[in-house]
Amino acid sequence: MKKLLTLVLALMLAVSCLAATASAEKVFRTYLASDTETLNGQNSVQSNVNTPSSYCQSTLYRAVPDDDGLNFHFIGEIAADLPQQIDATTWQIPLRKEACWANGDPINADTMIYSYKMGLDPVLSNQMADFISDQDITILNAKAYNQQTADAPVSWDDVGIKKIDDYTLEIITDGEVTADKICSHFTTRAVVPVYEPLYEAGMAEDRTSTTYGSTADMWMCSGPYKLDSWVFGSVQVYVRNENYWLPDLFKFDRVEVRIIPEMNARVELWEKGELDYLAPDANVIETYIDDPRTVEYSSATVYHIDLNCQNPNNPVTASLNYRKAMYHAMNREVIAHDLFGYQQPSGVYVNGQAGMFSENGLTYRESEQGKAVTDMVDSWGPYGYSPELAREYLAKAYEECGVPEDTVITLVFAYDPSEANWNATAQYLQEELPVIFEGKVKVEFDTYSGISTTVYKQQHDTWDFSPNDWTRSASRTYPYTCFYYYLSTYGSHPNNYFDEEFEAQYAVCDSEEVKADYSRMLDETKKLEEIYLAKVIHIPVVQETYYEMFADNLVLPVETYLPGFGWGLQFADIEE
Amino acid sequence: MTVYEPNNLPQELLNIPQGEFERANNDWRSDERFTTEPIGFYKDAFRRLCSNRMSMISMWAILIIIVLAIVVPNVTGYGYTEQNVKQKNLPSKVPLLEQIGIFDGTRVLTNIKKSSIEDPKRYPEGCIINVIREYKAGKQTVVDVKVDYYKYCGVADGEYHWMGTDYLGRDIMTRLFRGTRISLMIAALSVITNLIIGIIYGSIAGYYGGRIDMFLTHLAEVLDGLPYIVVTILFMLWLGSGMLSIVLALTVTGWIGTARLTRAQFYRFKRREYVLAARTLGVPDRKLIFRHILPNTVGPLITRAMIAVPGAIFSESFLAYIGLGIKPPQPSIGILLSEGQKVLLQYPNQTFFPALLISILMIAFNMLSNGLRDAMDPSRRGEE
Amino acid sequence: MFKYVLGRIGAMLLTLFLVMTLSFWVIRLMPMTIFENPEVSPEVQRRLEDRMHLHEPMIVQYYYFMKGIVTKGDFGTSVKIRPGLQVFDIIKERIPPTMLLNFFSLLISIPLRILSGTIAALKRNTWIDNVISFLIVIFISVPSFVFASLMQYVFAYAWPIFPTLYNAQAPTIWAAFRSMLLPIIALSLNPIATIARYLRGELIETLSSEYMLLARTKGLTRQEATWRHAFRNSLVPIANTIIPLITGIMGGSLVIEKIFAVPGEGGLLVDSILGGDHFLTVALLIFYSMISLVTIFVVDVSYGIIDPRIRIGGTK
Repeated sequence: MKKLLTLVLALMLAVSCLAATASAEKVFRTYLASDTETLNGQNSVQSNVNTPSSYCQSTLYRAVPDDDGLNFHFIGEIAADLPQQIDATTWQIPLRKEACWANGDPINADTMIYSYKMGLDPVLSNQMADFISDQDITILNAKAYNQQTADAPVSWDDVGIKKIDDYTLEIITDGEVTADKICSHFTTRAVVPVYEPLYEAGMAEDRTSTTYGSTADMWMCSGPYKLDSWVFGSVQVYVRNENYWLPDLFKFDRVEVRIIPEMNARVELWEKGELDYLAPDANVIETYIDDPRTVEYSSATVYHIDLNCQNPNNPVTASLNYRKAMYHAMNREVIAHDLFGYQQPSGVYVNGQAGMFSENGLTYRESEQGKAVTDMVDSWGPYGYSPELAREYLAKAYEECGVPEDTVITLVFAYDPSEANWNATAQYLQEELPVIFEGKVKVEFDTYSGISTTVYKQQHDTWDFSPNDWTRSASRTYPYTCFYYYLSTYGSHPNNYFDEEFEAQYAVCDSEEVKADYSRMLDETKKLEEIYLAKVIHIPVVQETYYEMFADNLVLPVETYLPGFGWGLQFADIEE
Repeated sequence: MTVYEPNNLPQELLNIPQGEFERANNDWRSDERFTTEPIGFYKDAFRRLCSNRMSMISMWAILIIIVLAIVVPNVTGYGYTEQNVKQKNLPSKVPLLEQIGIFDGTRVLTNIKKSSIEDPKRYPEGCIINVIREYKAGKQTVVDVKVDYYKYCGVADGEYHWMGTDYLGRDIMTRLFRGTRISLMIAALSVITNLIIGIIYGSIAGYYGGRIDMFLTHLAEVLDGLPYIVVTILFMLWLGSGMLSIVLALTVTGWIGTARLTRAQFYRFKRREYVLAARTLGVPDRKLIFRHILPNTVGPLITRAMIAVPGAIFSESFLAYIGLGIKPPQPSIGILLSEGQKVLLQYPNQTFFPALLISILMIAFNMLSNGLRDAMDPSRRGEE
Repeated sequence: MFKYVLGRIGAMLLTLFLVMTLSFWVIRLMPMTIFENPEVSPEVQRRLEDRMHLHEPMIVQYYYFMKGIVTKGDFGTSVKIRPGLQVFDIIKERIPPTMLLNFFSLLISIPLRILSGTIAALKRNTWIDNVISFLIVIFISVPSFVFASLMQYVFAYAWPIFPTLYNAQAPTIWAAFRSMLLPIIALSLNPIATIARYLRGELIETLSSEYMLLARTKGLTRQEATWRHAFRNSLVPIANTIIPLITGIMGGSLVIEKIFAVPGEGGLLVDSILGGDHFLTVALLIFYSMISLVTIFVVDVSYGIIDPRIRIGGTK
């Protein structure tokens, strides 16, 4: 009996060793912090869906690196060629005849039309519909179709997506655009084709939802890789799709995406060489900041703090001077460098990537107009931090609201303590603000978990500070669009603050006339940002710097980070 | 066999004159008088407890930790909220011990670009003690270095953080003992509440039996059917974070175990002869419960209460781990542990010290409860 | 006996009903949002919320909820963790790893705890007792998330004899078991220690009782007496601790599953509570309660067989 057991154990060991050494294929091992709630890119707001989507789905166009690795360009993936302009707003996209699904079924104009029609379907209410209707370009009537009501119906025939023949699509835009913008528009996870038989099979009886993409069986791949297996919460494995028509672009034979919620585990696997990629977070960055493998880039995010201007407990919060005081009280250098971990302080809101598709290649921040605003902020103090100004404005606010000079106000910082950055920032401000305001300000906390910041703000009105929830990464062409969230027309209003002058200026920026003239658009954006700073719509704090590490044997296709393209990880190769 | 009957006694015996009797033994005899104090049950138990070396060490350890928790935060020279963000995540540095090379505030940094350590802005003069290893990786020269982390962060000479600092540059020792105070308070409050509720509930169910027992047991079962961690999380979400919420959340299901134990003990003892005797003598129910049956459960209950202390501290740290602990900036052992766990690989000292303290505390509580249990065992009364 | 079992089943069903009701009301009364994307227009939001009856009064929603469960076994649809999927299917899919994990932990912890508890009791106050007690206390004194992280560091990184994470796609059973061993051990330590302490106490009490003296007097050796009388008798109250043991292991797996990335129910529960997926949370609570109820039932019935005096509802 004992002998048998030993034998069986030895056999098992041998088999497991064999299984481990048998492969000599190029495997890329990466991770996600949490699993994708659904693979259906049309209906998931989580950015982690981008991983399976970019490996396993094709889109009309794909951004690929140049041969010299210095830039990138778009090539047709499902599309056979770049978009052809018919008239000012009409474009035709020819499709490849060889494009097909992983099971061999063809992808043609009907497939694409079905995908977009479903993506925009008013009854299905997919959450990423706006990525189809208006992102880099605005498709005629698409938003209207998606948001139609029973008393004002919009027909699908009016939407600017049409089939010319089996292999030609026509796109009608709402305004003039360039071919590049059309390409860029048709690269996201929201515009991938969907497989009609499965999409319909998963459809609820009342056609209000579909389970397409909720499991591996309910999803059809069309990209360079196909989903080999998916154990929810544990691992996703992609293997080569034999039916894919551009296989030479991609070098990996297999991609393993593990779901690793704990940073410790990620670091251990990385150090053991079982991961080829690691993004160090604020807790870990200190260890890797001087590591030669660490690369960094400025992301399209400016973290900011929302200010509630209608807190019933603190009448002084309604005063503009109070908001200015708070703006000047933020020591952004400390917050960015020490609390967020080697990030860039920022006293302005338009991020470093916004407007990078400009004619001269400069982002808005690098332009003359953008620099003027930065200089103005720096003239107040480093990144707008100035304790003297802060005290001055608070005194004015007291005077304005008729509050006695020696009043102590208690401000509530509401945040989710599981977010390490904000947890540190909140505790820092609790110590720092009383010092800056000489004891006139006290900070208390209201912590919440389990609900998003948006929901918290909808349900409570007694907070004063709160971290941003969504950061709008401004369009790469139009930097002013990052202010879109603070318009009264926008769905949720995190800070209850509206300003007519601000909204009027936004409308000026957004007019076709200004959008057509690039330098005028920059001037108007500058004015908008100045109004934003003068009114302190909210408090910008940190321009995010993103840190990443790649394994030594990973050969990246580009030399530096390319905004709008990244490192081109999918096109990387693995050296022996 | 001859039997003498009183009326049948021979004449000569009946007529013996009184005066001829005399005492066989002339000494005065009486019971020996106790010269020692009488010893009650608890006194006896205490005596036996004192003779158990482990228990005594444990008791002293607990007392010392309590004293430290009160004294240390006031004497370190740092406040528990006092921050210095430029001096964050310092390793521990202890006077005297630093001379022999441990706790000397140094740290080995690996895989550093050589160009970085030559930059005096990043690595100030004199902070690099020695270069351990130098090698080439691709085009760059990479080094492993041992740095004086205190100099690296610009800490003045002669300043010490015995256990290091955390992510905001707060002194961990100050926070640890402040946190111990809070954790112990949470534990004590919740254990006491649980005991009171559990004993009353369990006694009623166990003593009366029948329908009352049926009803009470089922009620407890409904609550117990929900896993306690889930209930605790829900309760915390509902009440919001804070010390009182934690105590309440730990009470929701915490008392059930006590109640169950009490009930079982009641079933065991309520039909014993001495209870029957007491009842026959007309002792009222209340007195029967508290005077005659309940003392039997004291031993197991004390053991349980002692185990419940780590239990409470655990639940608190579990809540801290998932982000539902007490409100910052208040520390607790759980908060410190969960903060430490996040940087376990980078700064193990932030986990080590809280873990060490909680272990000592728990060992002490458990050894003490062991001793108490043995001491309170009624069958060992009078043993040395 | 049959009547007793029947009664217990009835009580169990009643409890289950109460649990369902309770968790529905407690959780569904908490705020919930379905939409993370604030750009979804109010009409669309309204439409989706109507589909889930969210605008009806709570009592009507409760009716729909109970009706769904009773008539169709339908616990609702997930809205956050895996939108659109039936929560029942989500839970079903994740049962195997959780069950394996919990089952193995039980398998390891029950004999170990009995062994260590017995030895500690028999060798009371000797160095063996002290060593066992000390080890036990170390295991119960460090929270499982610290212990699990530490084990992960020591046995998977510093001295890599085990994989760091749970391997859901292990090619062999052995590899699967190997990747599970660390979480299993991490999960078992605390329950082993807790129960071993309890057993020690219980045994000590029995060892010093009169019938042990009688057993020795009638000529049994110490071992015989211990085994036949003391050990068996102390197992009776120990059965009681199986319930907290199982719920304890299930509770512990909430944390362990996250650290070792095990795709089980525990991690799902934490995610769904913190993510605000109320439909899934309610169903998971019912799932967890069902497991503890079944355990309680089994323990109660076996209790009733072992020691009829302790049956619930016995007389004064």
